[in-house]
Amino acid sequence: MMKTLKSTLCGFMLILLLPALLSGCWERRELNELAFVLGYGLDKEGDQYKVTMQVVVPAEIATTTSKGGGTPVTVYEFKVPTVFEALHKFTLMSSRSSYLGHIRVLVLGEELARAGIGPVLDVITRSREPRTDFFIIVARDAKASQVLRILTPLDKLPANRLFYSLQTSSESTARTSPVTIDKLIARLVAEGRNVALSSVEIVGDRSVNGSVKNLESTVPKASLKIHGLAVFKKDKLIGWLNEEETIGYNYIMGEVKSSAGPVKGEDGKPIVMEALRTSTKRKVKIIDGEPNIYISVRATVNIQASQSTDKLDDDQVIRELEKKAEERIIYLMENAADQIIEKYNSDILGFGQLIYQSHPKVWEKLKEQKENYLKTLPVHYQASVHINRIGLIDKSFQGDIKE
Amino acid sequence: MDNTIKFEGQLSACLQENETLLQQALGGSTDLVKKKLILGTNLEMSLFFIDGLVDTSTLHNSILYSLTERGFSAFDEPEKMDPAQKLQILKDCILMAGDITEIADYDKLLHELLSGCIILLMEGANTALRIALPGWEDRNVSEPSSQSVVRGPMEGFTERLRTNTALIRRKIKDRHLWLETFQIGKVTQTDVAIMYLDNIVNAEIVAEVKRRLAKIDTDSILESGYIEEFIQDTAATPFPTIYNSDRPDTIAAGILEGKVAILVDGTPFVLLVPSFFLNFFQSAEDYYQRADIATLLRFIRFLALFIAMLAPALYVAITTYHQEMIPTTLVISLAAQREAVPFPAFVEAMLMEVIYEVLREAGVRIPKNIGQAISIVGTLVIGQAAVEAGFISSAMVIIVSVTAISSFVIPETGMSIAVRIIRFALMGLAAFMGLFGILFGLFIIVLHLAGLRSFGMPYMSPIGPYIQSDLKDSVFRFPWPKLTTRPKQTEPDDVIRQGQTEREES
Repeated sequence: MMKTLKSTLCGFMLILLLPALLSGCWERRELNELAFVLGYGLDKEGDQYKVTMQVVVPAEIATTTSKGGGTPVTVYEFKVPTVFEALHKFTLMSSRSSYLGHIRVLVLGEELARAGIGPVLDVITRSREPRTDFFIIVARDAKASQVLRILTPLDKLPANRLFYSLQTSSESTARTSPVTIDKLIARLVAEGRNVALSSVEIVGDRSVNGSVKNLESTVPKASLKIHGLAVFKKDKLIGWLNEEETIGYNYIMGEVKSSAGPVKGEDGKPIVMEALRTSTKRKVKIIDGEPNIYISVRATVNIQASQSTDKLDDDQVIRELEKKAEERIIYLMENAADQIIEKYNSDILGFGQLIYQSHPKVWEKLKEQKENYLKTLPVHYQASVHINRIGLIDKSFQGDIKE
Repeated sequence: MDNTIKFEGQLSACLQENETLLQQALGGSTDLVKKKLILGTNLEMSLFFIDGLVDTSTLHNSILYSLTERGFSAFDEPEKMDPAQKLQILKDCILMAGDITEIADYDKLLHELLSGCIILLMEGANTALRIALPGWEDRNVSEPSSQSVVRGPMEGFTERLRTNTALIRRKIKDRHLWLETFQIGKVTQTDVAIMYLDNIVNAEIVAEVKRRLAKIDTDSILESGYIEEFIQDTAATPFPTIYNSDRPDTIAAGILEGKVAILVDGTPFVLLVPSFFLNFFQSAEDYYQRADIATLLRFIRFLALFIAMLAPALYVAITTYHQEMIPTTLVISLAAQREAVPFPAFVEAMLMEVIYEVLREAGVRIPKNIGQAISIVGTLVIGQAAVEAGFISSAMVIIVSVTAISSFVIPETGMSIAVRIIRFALMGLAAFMGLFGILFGLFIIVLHLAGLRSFGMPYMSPIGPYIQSDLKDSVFRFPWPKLTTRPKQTEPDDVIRQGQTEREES
């Protein structure tokens, strides 16, 4: 009796579980039913938005089935009152539904960036499809749609090309600063922090547009170049930083993985050094009730090239060079900070955030000065460089070249 | 033919009567050989045996020879002795054979006759002599086919029970190695033997084995698989709860760990109880190779278990539900391969898995001389043509082949069969609910495994219940000098395997 009751009860419980199966096959999509959007572009056109989607054509990419006829990507453009509507319009123009899970870059047109990026970012972060590891980049003096149309050699997928280009250039040269969407939003809403995004520009003949002709020469007619930083205040673009200033910015932010630059030798000719490891300490000290920012950089560098006749096997020379390298790093940082503070007065360096996090009360007081706190904030730069290796030869042979 | 004649009860004293009854019992089968002998003046006797089951050359050279040569002189005056005495003399003085016993009842007599013994009936005696002289065409001890090793003994069990018990005894020369024999199967009367080390084994296991064997009520036992299904704890599981092997070293090792071996006449596959989940991932070679590589190989087998079980399911789940998990370059390449494929990934995977299973089954059943043709068709069909024809994507071929290869890494076939069955279920769940479904399936499998028992012992030990000292030879394989205790999972009487081994200082 007990047993039958138990088994009936078990059976009943199983029936109760059955509705769980009703959710089966939810969101099931085959790979060949999806259009993978790799590059996503946003522009402003009047009071409407122009959404550009760079979609990969898988058959053109695959090594075995590729016939080399068509373009590896195809670009869809929509003029819509809200960004979300573009996804709906997409199906009108394509047999497949768009899939945002593999976005590599989000390109923002300059016009849109100047008008403010806040409203368009909401739809991307709200959607559950995109991952958060794609980079956001501003099209300098161009529309996002123009950027996404251009085909690139070597890497067939232009969006991939931008993604990896940003990644490697920031890792090996510190001349860019890639920002992912989660970081961007965190910085936008942070106290005492403004954002800076990498920028891309079109170099060459813009009229080439999306034509395959671009790839028919060893020198592409038009190509995409990552170029410095776009400085924002709140969510609005206000100006640009060049590459040298970007390196300084990265030193201050402690985001230099590797970078290279020349210092002058005794005879005024350049000696190139490459930083292998750097670390930046950012500190706030309160002196007489006023916050002071201390930025100290430690770097280990190698000598990579020398046009100078300096005796690199001499310890004294090396010490000299170390000092010069320190001066150069400090110069880079000061130069960048001057630009940023004097010209744009935008706290992309996060000094305000630094103070807010370590001394919230001081920040409260500082905030009353509103925008201009940066201009009066004393910042102290310090650098210590250690030359690790000078390469396979010591003194350059250039001085010994005989007639 | 009179079926009412009872072939049981006591033998008659009349030779004629016994003979007739014996011949009737076998329905006049033509392989029943009767040899009539008259010794001395008038001592009548007859020998019965089944042709083909006895060693005829020994029969001629020693039994018949001794009876005729020596028997004549011994029975000069048969009238003076009673039949029992005569049998005694035959048994003790005349017959040149080792294993001779007297039998009084019919039932036993028929059984012995059919097991390959010679039956000697004598006029006036109501008992018969049974001379054990089995000798039939037999397979030699040869290399075990199901679990081959690179290093290790190359001998395998044969179909003959006695050879098999001898193979084990040759490895364990200890008086505590006990052997008990039963006849199971009302018709086949198959000899089933259990072997165990009396001083190590947990007596409860032996008692339980005997109890379960005694409960078997069937007409035939043709292979140890019959026994396995009769005595296993539950049939409601895809996992084998009884280990089998045709390797004497594996079985001997099991006996030494306090397990009970069940040998069945007529098959080289010997059962070992109780068995645990992890036993099925151990190979005899683990113990002959160095410990480090043995441990690594065990990890590789666990990895192979997961690949064999999950690879197609994960492929289906990830490509149809979780495209964001695949690296961009790979997802584009996969999408390109799928461009021309008309079926959903699940159908594609199912199709390939079924084709593979069919090919595999065909490979086993097919006569050896046309196997080559099938393998060519198989590889071409499954490998290239299907992809080129746009039936399936080439990634799927990789998945199926990796799965197939991985399932062969599991040393025991019973376990790899279980994995094959589970694979299909998981594929269904993956197609239905994605990774969530796979996790759901794995969860149920783990719950199920945790509840399984083999002869009352928890199947998942030493993991659940956790027995730390047993990990040294289950998940890992420690060097031999460190394996000081036997596995405690079988709750053996004597846990200490060996003393501490002092390392030689050099």
